[in-house]
Amino acid sequence: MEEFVFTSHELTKRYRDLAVDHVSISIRPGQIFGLVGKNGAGKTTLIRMISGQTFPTSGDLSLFGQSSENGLQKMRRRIGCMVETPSFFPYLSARDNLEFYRIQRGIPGRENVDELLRQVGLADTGKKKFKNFSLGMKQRLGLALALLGHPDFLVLDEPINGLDPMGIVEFRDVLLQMNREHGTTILISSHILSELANLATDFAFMDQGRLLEQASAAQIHEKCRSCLEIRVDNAPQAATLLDTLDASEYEVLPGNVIRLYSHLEDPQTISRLLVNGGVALLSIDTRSSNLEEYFLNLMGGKTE
Amino acid sequence: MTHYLSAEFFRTVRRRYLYFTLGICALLLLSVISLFAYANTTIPEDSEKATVDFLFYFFIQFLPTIGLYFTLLIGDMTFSEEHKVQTMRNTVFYGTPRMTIYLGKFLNCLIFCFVVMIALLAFAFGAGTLLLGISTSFVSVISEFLLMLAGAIPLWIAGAALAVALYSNIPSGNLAAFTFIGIFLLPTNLLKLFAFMLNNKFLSEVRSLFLTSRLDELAANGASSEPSFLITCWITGMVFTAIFLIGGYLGFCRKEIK
Repeated sequence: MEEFVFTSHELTKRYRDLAVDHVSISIRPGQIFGLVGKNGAGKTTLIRMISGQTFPTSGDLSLFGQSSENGLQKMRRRIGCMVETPSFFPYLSARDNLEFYRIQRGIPGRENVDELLRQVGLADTGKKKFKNFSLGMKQRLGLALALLGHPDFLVLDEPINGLDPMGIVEFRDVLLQMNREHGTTILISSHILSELANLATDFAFMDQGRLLEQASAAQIHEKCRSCLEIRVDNAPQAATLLDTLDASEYEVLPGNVIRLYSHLEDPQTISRLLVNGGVALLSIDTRSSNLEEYFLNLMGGKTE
Repeated sequence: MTHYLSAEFFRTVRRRYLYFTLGICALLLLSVISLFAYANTTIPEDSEKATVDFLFYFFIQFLPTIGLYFTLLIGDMTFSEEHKVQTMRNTVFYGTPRMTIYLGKFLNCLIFCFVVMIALLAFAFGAGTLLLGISTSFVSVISEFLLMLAGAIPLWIAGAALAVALYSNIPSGNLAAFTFIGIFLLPTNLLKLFAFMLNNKFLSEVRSLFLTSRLDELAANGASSEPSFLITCWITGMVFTAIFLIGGYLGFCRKEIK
């Protein structure tokens, strides 16, 4: 098995401005990789370069260890993509649209199309033309196309836009099933961070074309843990006092800030200990964050 | 490439556009044939009547130019507004080489040009024979018609190459169609104007190398075209096909597919 499904090294795409700015990411087999960033962060441009829709201005990317133009084209046969709103021929039905791509890709077995339509809940759309589909139905058909040919790597850009809550749950189940049963690697970008938090094993955060951070879900979880955030005048002295309390799970941050991960239900004891020990206590707050808050903190509190 | 072409065929035959095009062209042909048939009833008995030969003479004069613009219609049909409905990216996602996509579109366009032409000519012959009858000179007319086709086909292929080059690179189908018409109408007419105003033979010579000039000549000369002229038609057609295909591909191969 390849060490990496996807890698990019200093990948850059410039239109008028830099859309993707020297991004280096690596995705290992079996990961569900969440790509997080606000609008214009460069997520879709990055995905377009992976899918072959556009070409990098500079830098390299590789798929399954292949980085030549020819090698990339061959490896794209192992990828299933869904970028932005799915596009199909408006005058064809769901079945005919999928059949068209099945023939084009030389995938044997007409029954695959029926199986996929059943899997995404479009089995009974009959002769209804794509142009008459709702946004949710279009998203489902887009997923069916991405799954056509049992890809090893799924690349999904905002795939749950337009899906109803039931559809989102079904969609998540399909992805998790693909990942668990077939070991499919998934790259998924979404604005709905709570949904990504339920799904992804790894994250990359992007802003203004740049990669801010790449971390595993476990690392993010660790950073988002509940804690007491204590501001004092003398952090080293406070840390010595905390050691006497058997409160070893803490970290000292710049600016005389201490994050304490124990004694969450007992802040009075901590404040008494510090004050009696001669440390000026400036504030003490219980703090916890989710992926959304983590992302906003990473962005320096900037919102769209 | 065979998979790509099979899929293109699968889609094109499921589109109403093909059947509307065939239907409208058949109706137009039927109108012309009916007009000839009506004219036959109004002229004196001893006058020469229009037969199916007359219809094919008519084709020899007008089909060369009509056929060129017909490639635009078939190009539009086979391209299926892929830029507008943004479906080409689904093909690119799968790693289908751009060369395969580009040549696939071109070959599909040629195949359907051929299919539609055969169907319409068969219809014209059938309806013409039924409504107008056939005369003894039919064999010689058909041989003239075939000679015209022999010269026109390479020029039409170049037209199809330009249609595919434009539809592949210009996101708007209407703009691509106007550009196609402009490329064939503007340079040749401007050269004609300047050659006339400046009384310049060189400009006239340059103009005679253009596809539209060759087609006009083919229509005017008909069966009297010498084999050497047919050879120049093939050379012109192939040179322009190569220019249009290569030029179109150079733009398409690095184009961002939305």
